[in-house]
Amino acid sequence: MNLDLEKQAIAGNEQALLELLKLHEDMLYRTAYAYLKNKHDAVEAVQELTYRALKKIHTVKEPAFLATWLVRIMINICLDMKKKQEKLIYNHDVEIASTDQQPFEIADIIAGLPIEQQELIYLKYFQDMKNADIAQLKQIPEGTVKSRLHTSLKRLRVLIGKEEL
Amino acid sequence: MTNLNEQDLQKLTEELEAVEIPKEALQQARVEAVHQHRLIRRRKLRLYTVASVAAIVLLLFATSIRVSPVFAQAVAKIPGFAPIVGMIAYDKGISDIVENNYYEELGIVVTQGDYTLTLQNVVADHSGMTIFYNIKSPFNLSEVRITSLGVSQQDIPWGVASSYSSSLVGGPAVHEDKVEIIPVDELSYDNMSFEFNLHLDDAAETKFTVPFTLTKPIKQPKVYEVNQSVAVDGQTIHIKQLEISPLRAEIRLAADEQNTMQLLKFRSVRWIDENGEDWGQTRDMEEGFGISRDGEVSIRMQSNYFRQPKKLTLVMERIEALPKGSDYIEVDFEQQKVLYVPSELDIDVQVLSGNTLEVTYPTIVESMLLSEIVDREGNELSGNIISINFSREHDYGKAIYTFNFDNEVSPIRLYMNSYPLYLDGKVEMNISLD
Repeated sequence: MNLDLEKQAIAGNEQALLELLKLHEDMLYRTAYAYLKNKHDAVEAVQELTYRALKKIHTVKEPAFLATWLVRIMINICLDMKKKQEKLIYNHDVEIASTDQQPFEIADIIAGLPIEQQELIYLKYFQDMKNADIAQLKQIPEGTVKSRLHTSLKRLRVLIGKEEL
Repeated sequence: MTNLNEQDLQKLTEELEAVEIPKEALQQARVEAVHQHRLIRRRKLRLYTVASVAAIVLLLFATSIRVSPVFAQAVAKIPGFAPIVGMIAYDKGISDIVENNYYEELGIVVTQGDYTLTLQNVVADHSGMTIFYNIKSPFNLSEVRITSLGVSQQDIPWGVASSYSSSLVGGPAVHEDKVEIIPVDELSYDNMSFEFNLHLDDAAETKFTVPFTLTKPIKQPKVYEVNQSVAVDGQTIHIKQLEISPLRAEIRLAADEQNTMQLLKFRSVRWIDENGEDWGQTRDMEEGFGISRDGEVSIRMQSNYFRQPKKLTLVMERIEALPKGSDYIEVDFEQQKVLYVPSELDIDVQVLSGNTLEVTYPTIVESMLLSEIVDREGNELSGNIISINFSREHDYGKAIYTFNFDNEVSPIRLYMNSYPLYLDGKVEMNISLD
């Protein structure tokens, strides 16, 4: 992995960070979309992400972690925004009885997992990363990635089960 | 859905891949975020705590009184400079720049709707960029304001605009001004192509984006490592470095950690060369310069770049300072209580609600009273300020701060930025430039 851009970004080069955000924009925007389900909020999430990244980039220790770090912040931002969205639409839809699967339904369920596990699922399935890559990113053994993924999916199943009731 | 399987995740993946990426909106969002970040960084830099439009306009008038007629005549002969003599003549650095031809004529004219923008001249160096421009219109300009002004490179802001007048002053149909761009970090001239961006609040919301390219070489600053210390009223100040660029000179200072007083603002800083000629602060100095809590400050002065003085005497007077430990106020927003206000200061603090604070202070305070705001865990909160409302009654000013708190933890400290109590004495230090 060539990490020049990451290194420069961490050293405080704004341009490099913006370049990286652009490089990953599809993935980041889609992650936001999965949580927020509309263009307006997803764009806002990207703006907030850019802002937070600029503010906190110096806290990233390892250039290799930068992409994960961005995903992590994005998920955090989306969860915050979702909370606000839910407050706003408080009393409205109570109808979940439909058997048809809504688009991105699974994304809502994933949002109920601990953030570590959400991150893992997004990295693994939506960024299509290999266990080995995740292991390298997170600096944990590949076996651990596997077992954590397993736990995450198991929890996800429990959550889906609850949704059914 | 009773069983989660890879297909469900696959389905989400496919759904996500079908989502269109609004490339332009995202680019715009990032640019906005950069702006937002820089604004707050700028606030943190404490150079321009509140750049009030009115103050800037007033300064323009105040400074134009100091024009020397001889010099005004000389400058007026240079194309594009005539209308702005008043703005530049008082700054010796700019005078020298004009005499030494260290500026670049642009003469770029762009018409957009009812307005014609002319970029006249630009002076660029590593301390900043100053652009002289005018706007013409067949209509009365006094109703129109500039809502945004700055320089960018490929849409990414380049430095921040530190001063310009946002109301279109001047004749009824011509507005002449200059904008000063200052660095946030370092200015890079690797790419010499820029865009000048100016937005108006007219009905059509006219927006100018004017590309321009510099061709003249950029002069490198002269850097002197000074590393001398001086004591005043028992407080030690380290003069670290002097960096002189054509547009301005910058002195880097630090307060000693052992000092018993927290230095706030340097109200008067100037230097005098071996011939007794003196250079003062640049206009942005009107705010006075403060030492940040981590102890460092850069003071920007009029530049003598084009002269070769042998030595300079640095003179700093009216240094505002408060005893360490009584240089902040502390409040608890959760319980809506004021926890600490230094008794020796003539200020009154009220917590009005869970996110508003009212501070009353004497109007002889020359700058913003408060600046750095931190919560119990040391999180910097200046980015959480939604608004500050100022009002004035007799000899007292009132500022109401409204915050947008997320997870901040009280107590919250607001550090004093300026208060008219001074160190006893002044700094006078010789710096040799060999």
